[in-house]
Amino acid sequence: MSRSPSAVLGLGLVLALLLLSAVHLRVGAFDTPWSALPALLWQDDGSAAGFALRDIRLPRLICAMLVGAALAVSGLLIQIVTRNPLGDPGLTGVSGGAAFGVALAITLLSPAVWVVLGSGVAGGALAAVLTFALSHHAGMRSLHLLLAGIAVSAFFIAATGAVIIAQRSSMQTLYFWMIGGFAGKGWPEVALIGPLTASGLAASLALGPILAVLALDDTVARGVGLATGRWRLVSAALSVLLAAGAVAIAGPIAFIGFIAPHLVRHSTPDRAGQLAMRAFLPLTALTGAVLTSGADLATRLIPFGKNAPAGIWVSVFGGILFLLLAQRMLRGPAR
Amino acid sequence: MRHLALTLLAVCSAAEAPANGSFPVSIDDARAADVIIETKPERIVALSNFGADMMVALGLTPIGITTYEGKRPVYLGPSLDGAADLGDLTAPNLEILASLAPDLTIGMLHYNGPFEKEISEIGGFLAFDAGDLATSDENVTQLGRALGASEVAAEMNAAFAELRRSIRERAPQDGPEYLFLWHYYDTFYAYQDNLLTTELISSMGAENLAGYNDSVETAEQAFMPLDPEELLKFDPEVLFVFTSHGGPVKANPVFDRMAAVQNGKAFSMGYQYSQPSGPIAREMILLEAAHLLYPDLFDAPEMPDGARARPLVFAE
Repeated sequence: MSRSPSAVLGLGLVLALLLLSAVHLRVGAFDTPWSALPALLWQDDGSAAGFALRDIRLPRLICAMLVGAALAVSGLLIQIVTRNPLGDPGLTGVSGGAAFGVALAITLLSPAVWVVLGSGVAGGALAAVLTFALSHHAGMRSLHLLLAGIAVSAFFIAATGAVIIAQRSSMQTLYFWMIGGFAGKGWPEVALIGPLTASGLAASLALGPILAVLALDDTVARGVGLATGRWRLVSAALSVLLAAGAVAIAGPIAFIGFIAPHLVRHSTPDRAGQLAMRAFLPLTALTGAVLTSGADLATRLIPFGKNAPAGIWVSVFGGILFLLLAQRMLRGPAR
Repeated sequence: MRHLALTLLAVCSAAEAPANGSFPVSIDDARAADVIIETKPERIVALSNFGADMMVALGLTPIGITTYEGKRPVYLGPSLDGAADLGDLTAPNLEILASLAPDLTIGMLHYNGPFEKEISEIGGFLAFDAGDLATSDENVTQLGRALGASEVAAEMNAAFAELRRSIRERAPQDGPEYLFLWHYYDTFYAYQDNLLTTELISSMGAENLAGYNDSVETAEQAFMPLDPEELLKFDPEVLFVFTSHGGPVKANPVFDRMAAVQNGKAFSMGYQYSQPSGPIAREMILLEAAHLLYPDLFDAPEMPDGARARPLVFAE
């Protein structure tokens, strides 16, 4: 009995994620034998090695997976909403807005996790709302959204610069956040990103049939009785919800949202039907999780340089994939 | 309470107005090029903490200084209050510098090198870099000559060597294990013994768990990146943290498990520890670290409160 390409890809991604997770949990300053992993994970024996496994490696791994899944699905949603295959969550200004929120929190409020993340999410959401408001009159079409996103991002980047100049002491902290990464991410971050991502992914799955229609031409969508404007807005809001939390935690690595859907498209037949979308969404989420956890594992295994932030490989791997995909798209028709 | 020997030296120097040099002098600065100072400088700008520190130690007042992360060098006290603010150390405002018409500008090659030509055209420029104790001694010697105070500079180095010797003799041979961290949010960097700050602390019998780095070209590269798990594995008895942004350190569950935190031996250190080359900074570091490592043996030194080490504070 032959399996569908989607099922094969899904199985491969799950296996890849399991393998990455095992290595993630095994590798670290404390030597953790394979045989000891399960016991140390489930039982607090009071050892530093067990603590490192449960309270450092595990939340960092979960954080990377959640952020990857959130950004990937966020990117897919924005690509559908704008019908722009080059779309990523950064288009909505969410990265610039989140940077501003994080800068504001670190300089004026508190470096406490909840304050920084809350402020980052609020900043990202505010920027996205502004972008949508600016482009709404044109039905949130790709070009208008792109222009509005560029303008809003520029505004928030300038505002972030102003905050940094006014309070130079936070410049280095912000610099590292802007590179992105998962070093030092713990259970408080998981507690924030977990519910956001879970609810965002569940809502996206529930929207599957509508997204499948939205991906078609507007005339066809209206022909089947879909209020395209309203559902575009709902989908875009969902994209922002997913991206804002992820960016606030991991920094502006939103281009994962561009890469992941394309990797899935290139690996499976692209069918815009309801069934395909139901497969497309989880496959995209899994791909994002594999990308970010793989890149984070690389940051732990391959030292980049003396003063390089831990998240540098996330950007390096993501950037290379981005270029390869862009080159492939320019050579032939987008799939 | 122990008074800083240099404070006394500076007072003496100020009263005597150091003039024990003859001009012109040729100064060998960090650019490995001889700089000729024709006459004794009168209008001096200190772009680096080292320059300001040396001047204050000599009882001189710079007409302009820079800030580091928006802050003046608190550890030098009110002696710099009247100095013009040229902005951040890494990007000093050259227009203000020109308006001050200095006849000598003292900077750091590391930060001010890119503007070397412009600064030199405004007035004489001497560039020094931070490093280890030998570099600090050499910088003090060279700048002392440039400021017409070569004998006082030599006395400073000799007095500091004597102070180190006396503290080393009183300190235990096998002091506590420690780490000195600088951090960028979630990423920690441990100072290695190539750097003056940790070289001084280790000279008192304490063991720097980050060790000495043989593979770096300059002392300024001697930082060991650490992730939280590695920090926990080191688990030093004493933890010094230079909080570069000045605020509380981000809470991390690792800290709760560390012996230094549990025993009240985790400290947030002043700015002098990040730029320790000056004669006042290095002496302050030596005396304060001796007290923090061995509170029963060494009293807390007299120093500005704003520069004093504090218990490490965490943002929850």
